[in-house]
Amino acid sequence: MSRNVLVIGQSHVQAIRCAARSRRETDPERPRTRTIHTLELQYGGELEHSGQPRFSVGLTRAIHDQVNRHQPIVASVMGGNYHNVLSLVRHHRPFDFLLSGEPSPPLDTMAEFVPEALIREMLLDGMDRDLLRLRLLAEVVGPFQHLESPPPVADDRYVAARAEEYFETRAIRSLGVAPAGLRYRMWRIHSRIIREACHNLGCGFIPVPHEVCDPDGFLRPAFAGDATHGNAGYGEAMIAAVEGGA
Amino acid sequence: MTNHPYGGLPDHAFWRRAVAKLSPSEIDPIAGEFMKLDRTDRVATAGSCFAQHIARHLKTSGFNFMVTESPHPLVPRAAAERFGYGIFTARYGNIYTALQLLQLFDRAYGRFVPNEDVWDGDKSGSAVDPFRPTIQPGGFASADELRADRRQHLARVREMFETVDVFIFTLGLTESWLSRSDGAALPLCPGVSGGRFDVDQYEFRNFRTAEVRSHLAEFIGRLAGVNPDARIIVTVSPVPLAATASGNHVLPATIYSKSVLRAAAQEIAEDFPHVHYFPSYEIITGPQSRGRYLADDLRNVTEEGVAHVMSVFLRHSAGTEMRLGPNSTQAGDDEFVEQVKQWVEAMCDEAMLDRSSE
Repeated sequence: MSRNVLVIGQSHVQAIRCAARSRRETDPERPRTRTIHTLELQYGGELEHSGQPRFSVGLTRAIHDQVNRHQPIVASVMGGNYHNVLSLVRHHRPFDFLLSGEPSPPLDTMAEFVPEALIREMLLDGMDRDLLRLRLLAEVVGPFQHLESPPPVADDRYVAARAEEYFETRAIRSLGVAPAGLRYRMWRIHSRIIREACHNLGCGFIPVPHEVCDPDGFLRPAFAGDATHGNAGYGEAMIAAVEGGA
Repeated sequence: MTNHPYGGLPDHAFWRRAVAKLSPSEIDPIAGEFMKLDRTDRVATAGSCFAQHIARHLKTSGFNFMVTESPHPLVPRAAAERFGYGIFTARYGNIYTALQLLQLFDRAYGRFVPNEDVWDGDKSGSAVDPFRPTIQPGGFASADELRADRRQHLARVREMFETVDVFIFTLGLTESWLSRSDGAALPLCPGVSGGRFDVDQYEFRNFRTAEVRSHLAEFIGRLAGVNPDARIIVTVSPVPLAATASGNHVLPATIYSKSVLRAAAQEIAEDFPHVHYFPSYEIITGPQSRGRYLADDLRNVTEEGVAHVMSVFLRHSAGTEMRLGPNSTQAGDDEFVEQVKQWVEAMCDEAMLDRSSE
């Protein structure tokens, strides 16, 4: 039996929001999927840093309000983009690594080799806030389901053409898009870190459904919203995955 | 008055004038010319734990300390240090014996491919480099990763040998464990940090002076082959053995080891005009120091001792003076010094030999 869904996060909320709107318009009687984008102004800021870090009063109240009124399955798309920050744009000192434990595209042997453990350190170094968000969400709502970030799109030209403004400021035009293999592997390590964090919090982790991926595990362009986010179709697949896991 | 060769000798030739009369911090045991370093000279370091101190001070003293194997800029600094970057010129970890150094050169140039390739790590599928067993905390994720990293590492080692102007090598030990199959010298006894000890596979060796001298001479010849202008400074680590497998008491075993290394270093410096000996060993362990340069464990060298060594080094190699004594570390640097101390101690993997008793 379907239940309401509440998805909380930041930029990855947009795909869910689009899918939820489409569902509402085509079938108003269906259980609703609602979203909270924690950085939106109506919550008066996301975090309060006086004393122990915590969600702002406005954000906490909004989450409690949704939970109390709709008893939804709570899902998270917190953070989920730091791998792109590090590796969507080709680095001026190109690097690559071998992914352990699962297949991935061939190593770029011309790039500087970095052991996987140090790739993990690179990512962890910038994921404090995202990991804090997961912990705070667990404190506010208890166990939740985290939705894996979308895989990268393999096609460099697609990525270059649809890169967000942030990547324009990171010289994507002059440096170019990083090789697809590196982007894929960075996404995998990012997902492992988040999965472990969720496990440690007693929360679930819902992987990206196979149907949105090509045979090599990249996001099919038909499910991409831009260079780093899914579109409404992707959002629909993720909502269905949440419902399927409930 | 009788005329004899001692009559006209300078003060430094006399113990009373050059040692007994002076305070420990005034002792400067270099007589005559020492190698001059230019600020632009590319200086590389390798060797035992004590060599890490030399590298650290060179970096902060305005020398052109070469790092051919640096961490990727996206790797956080603390993680890079834990993974052995920046401690020496390349990520080879501690090189305790002259044979290890020679074999590093040969491995870098494909002249020696040891049978000892990969050790299993603690985690399933993980791998440990027998020649850098502590360089990768937790081990490499796989044998393939280890080999890819090793290929890159050895390329950086070649770069170092081919572009270095002054190579500083600190001799640390005479005791070593060798693979019986091909004589590969291991930095740590198998089983201490990776690998599995098997008496049929590994043999203990305590090198003699002639062997150390021969290993050094061979290395010097090889280095000249790829970099004829490279100069070399040899030092002996004052850090005693953490443990001995020689069957002797660890104290005479230490004195034997250091004596052999000291004698070999002297002979090499006498044999090769472009090789100089620097007396860091004497500054730290000589009777004039009255043990004050050793920490409570009588192994680790205090910051004051390191500062004395480096002040003598800088005076003679660069003509600059460095402030000495307890104030040589500025107030407020305590946290930094503590971090550095932990870092240096952490990388002194020979101490792992005695871990079971701690």
